[in-house]
Amino acid sequence: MSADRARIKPLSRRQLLQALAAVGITGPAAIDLVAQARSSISAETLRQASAILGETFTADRLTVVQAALQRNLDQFQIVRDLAIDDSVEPAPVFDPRRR
Amino acid sequence: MADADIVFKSGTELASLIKTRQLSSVDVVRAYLARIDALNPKLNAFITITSEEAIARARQADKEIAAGRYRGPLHGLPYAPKDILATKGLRTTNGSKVTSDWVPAYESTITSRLNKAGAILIGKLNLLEFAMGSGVLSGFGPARNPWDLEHSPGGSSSGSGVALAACLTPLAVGTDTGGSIRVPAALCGIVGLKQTYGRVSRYGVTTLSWTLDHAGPMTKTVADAAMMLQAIAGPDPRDATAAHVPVPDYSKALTGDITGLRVGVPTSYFFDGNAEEVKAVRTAVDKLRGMGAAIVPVDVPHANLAGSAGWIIAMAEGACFHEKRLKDTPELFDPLVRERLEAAKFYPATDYIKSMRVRTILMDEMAQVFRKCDVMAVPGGGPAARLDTPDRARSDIKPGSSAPPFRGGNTFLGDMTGLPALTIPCGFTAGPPVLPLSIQFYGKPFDEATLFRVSHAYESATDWHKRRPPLAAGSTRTTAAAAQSMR
Repeated sequence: MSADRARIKPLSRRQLLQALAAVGITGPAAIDLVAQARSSISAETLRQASAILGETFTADRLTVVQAALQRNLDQFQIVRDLAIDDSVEPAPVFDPRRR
Repeated sequence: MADADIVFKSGTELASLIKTRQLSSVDVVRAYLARIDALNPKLNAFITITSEEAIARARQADKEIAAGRYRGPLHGLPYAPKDILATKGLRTTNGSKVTSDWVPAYESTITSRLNKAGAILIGKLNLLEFAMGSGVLSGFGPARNPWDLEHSPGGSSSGSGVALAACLTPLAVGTDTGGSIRVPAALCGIVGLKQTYGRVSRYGVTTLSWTLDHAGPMTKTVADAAMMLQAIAGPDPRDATAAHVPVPDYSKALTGDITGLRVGVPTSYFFDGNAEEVKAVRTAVDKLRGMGAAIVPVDVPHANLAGSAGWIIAMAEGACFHEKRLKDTPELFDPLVRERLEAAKFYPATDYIKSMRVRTILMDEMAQVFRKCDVMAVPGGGPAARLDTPDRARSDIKPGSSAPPFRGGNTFLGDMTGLPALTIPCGFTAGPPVLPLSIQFYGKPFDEATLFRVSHAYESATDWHKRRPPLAAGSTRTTAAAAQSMR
């Protein structure tokens, strides 16, 4: 990774929470601030993404999905923030026998 | 024997009475049907009640036993599966309007094995839609916790937990993808076992998540859970994930002796929940120490990821499984289920695969834990919260609250690692309302026997499992006819 790229690497959720705690902001207030700081998903973004999925959602449904996805970002982020060693493989259940 | 004396007995107690013909299977089935008739209108535990068929099968069982053809401890005993297990010729709703009229042409392996062992299906139990909704807006309405009707019975095997706590059946079957056997067991004050992934066939169980789903016993006592697992465990040519691992005689584990057993207690994460339950679990651990167990500290460093990664996997696989139904009849889904599944279509594949890598990490960490101990004890996930209002049940976005990160590692850990876990009651809240508290034991792969050993010993030394909800404590003999079959 280049030095320039390293400089612009965004803070992880954990790092943001630690930084806020250092200035005395903790608990729900800190979580709200982190959520606000995160880039949000717009219904328009989802409409474009749904074209990639090959599906069409109504505007109402996109609004529901947008809210749900926005909420889920927190739990996605905790997984995304995790640094995993290259040697760790996924654990899908695979069995070559077929019925 | 009075109906109340029958329905308050455990499955193994009833089995002994039926075997020695002190009690007929017909008497037992009739007692439970009368109780269902009296209490189900309030509790909504059953979606379908199979009165006539059950009595006919009970008569058959009594004839066989009288003729010396006793099949084993389940012979003549009533049971009820969550209505997500396919039953040939009998409506299987999955708790959903989407499949409310589905009559399968095949039988799930679990119900098939229970039927073959002589158990008698008395009905099918309510659940959260497709094992993942709120229950409030599902096709059949919410099951009600008999400890307090305004509190949640947990889910998704809600009807199974309720039916056992209210003594509407001696034996039930649930399914567990993120905690759906153990959470209702915890909230209803009964026994729930999620056995090792592969120990029990899932053939005929409607999928939520191929890599996380389990189906297993829910009962009033540990001995009953052991008896049920004995009948349903083992390989199945119709389910490639059903493992070819020998099934031991679980009754041999029910010794009451835990001398020298090493009980691991995590030093972080798991004990951050409800203070009353944490205290009850620590008291239970002290009790185990007093009974001869060695208590050892353990750590699962990434336990906090189990819930989040598990959620990603479950919803992504669920969205794939329900793809066609979601496209064809989206309006028939519970709004919460639809919201979750449609959102999951946008989950990046990389998040799913990374979550599967988290599973590897958790499995490695639990392997380390079990080098130090034989079982790990954690809080079960209670007590029950109030049932959502219909308005709040529509969405994961709750009005007036900032969404906290998903938590659920106490139970999701078992589904993520495939390890067996068993939940039993270990106390009650001070109240009001008085609600059950529970302890959950994790075990080594395919070592359900040790879970039975420790939980049976604890159960034998306490009386939590003998307490009944006020609603279910008295006699419920009714003059009304047994509930009509909904077939």
